Amino acid sequence: MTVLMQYMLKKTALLLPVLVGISIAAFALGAMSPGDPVDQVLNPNGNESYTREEYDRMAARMGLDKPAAVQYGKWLAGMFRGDMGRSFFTNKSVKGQLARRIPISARLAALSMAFTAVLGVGAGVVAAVYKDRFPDHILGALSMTALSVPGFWTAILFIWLFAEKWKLLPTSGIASWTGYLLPALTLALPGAGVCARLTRSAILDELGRQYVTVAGSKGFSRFQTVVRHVSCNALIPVVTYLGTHLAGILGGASVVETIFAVPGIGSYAIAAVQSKDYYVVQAYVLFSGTVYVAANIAVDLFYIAVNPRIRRGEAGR
Amino acid sequence: MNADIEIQGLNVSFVNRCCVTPVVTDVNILFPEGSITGLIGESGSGKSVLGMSILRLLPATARVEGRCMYKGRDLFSLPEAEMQKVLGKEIALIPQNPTESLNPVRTIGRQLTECVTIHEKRRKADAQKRRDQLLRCLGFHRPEQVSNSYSFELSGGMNQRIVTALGLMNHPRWVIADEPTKGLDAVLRRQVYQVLKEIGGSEAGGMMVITHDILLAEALCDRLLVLYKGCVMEQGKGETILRHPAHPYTRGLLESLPENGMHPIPRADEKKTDSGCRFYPRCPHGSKACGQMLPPETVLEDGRIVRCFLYA
Repeated sequence: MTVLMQYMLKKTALLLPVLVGISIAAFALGAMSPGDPVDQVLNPNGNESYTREEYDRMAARMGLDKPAAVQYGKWLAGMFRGDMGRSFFTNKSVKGQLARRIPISARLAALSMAFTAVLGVGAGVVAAVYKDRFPDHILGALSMTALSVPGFWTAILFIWLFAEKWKLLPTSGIASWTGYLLPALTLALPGAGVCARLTRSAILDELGRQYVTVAGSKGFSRFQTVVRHVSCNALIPVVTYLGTHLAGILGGASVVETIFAVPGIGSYAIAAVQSKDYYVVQAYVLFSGTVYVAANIAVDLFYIAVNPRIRRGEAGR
Repeated sequence: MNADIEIQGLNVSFVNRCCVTPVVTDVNILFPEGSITGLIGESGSGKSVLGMSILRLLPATARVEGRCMYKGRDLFSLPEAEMQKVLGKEIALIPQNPTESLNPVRTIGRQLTECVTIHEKRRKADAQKRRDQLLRCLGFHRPEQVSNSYSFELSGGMNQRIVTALGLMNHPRWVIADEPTKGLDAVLRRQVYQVLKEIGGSEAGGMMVITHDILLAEALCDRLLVLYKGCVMEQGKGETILRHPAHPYTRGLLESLPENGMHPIPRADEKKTDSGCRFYPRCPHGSKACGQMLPPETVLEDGRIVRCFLYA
């Protein structure tokens, strides 16, 4: 167990500088992006005028008159206290908004993840079993399509089919749980395509190994061999992919959330970027970066669980 | 019931899009119950393919013709579910390339006991006992420790002995051992040899030993099969074959051993084809007939079967 603890500590320690880097990047992104938030607040429609004094007063109120390093320090200190600031425009607390929106995005991500894993791994296994036969060809074409068609196009297609034509599902909003289905599926398809291809090649790789033949010589059926011997080895690349994929959709389903009017953090971030709402953008970048890092730790933990090479000794090196 | 294995008219070829490559041609052998038969021959002579074809574990690109009779049934036409009951229990394999033969993410212990539990779930305790006993016989003084290891934590020689245990776990009637002493030093080779000999002697097990190690074959085997390019050139009692080799190839093979002065077999004469006798292009006694057809199998007075026109 000590090796395991050491390994985890090392991984976590390595991730700390990454987190600091993300926070600096998040802050710099807001500070360096073109456009002036003070101007945006005073003159949101582009046709109002204000005096120099009014401008300075507003800049001071927004804390933008200080040098960038001081602004960063204040912002970071606030983060540690759990204070993420307030939106320049709505004056609502960013933290409160995130707290309301994260569960919505998380639900969407979880459902989408379930679709990705079930469709992707399922299709991959079937394609591997029927290698070079009809189901393999069909699934190969489908997965290629799924991973190459952009999300907004799929979204429009789904809305047209399921909402307009068949009137089965709502076009937008999350008034009931059915509202999550279309955005989750749209979000899942490219990932499912990649996952299907990965699963197929991982399983075929493993099936060609000699330990599979040896399992056969012990009296294992093909199915028993796949379940007991192949699955653990083949899952390693697939889960690595799924982990980073989950992090990706947790932190940034912006396009899909906007199209389907899902009030999650993705659509929140898009709106904030458009209006130069610094604090919101910064909080969002920090959040999605942290989620990414956390997902990486989770993937590492999984590695340890399935791969004895790391669990035993080699981690220490 | 009689547990001989009898192979009749076995032909194996590998098929891909462009061509058909024959690897084993017209093999007819009787492996008598309880006997130890050595399969010798150079690399690529089809020894392992012959062994794996009995277990039906060749890759999907292999085309197998012929029959393999065991206990009154043809193993080649057995339904898959029936074959699985034979594998590991009636006929087991000691695979070659030990490190690749072991699953890197399962403990050695589990890979050993599952040989038994895959057939009978309830015999887990038995299996563990058998495992520890075999590991001790094979020179592991602390079986528990080895059982908890993974293949990548052990050396090649240790893994070689692990796969030997793997083949013997379920007290099979037959063991097909593919190079069981490869990569072992003299001491360990002796130990493995001892275990195989004991199993062969005491547990009524028949064995096929695929090997390059002619000394091992001499010491361990009752009978020998000499293969060259997929054809059985000579088969019979080990002692007779090694003392008085009949087939020109066997003679060449033995003379090329270091202890016999290391005289290599001459290179192939490029003007001669091997569409008749496979050895014709390299044979010092070749006649015209050798290039035209595969010589028939001839039974000599001492019971040997030789595939050569010199004796036909």
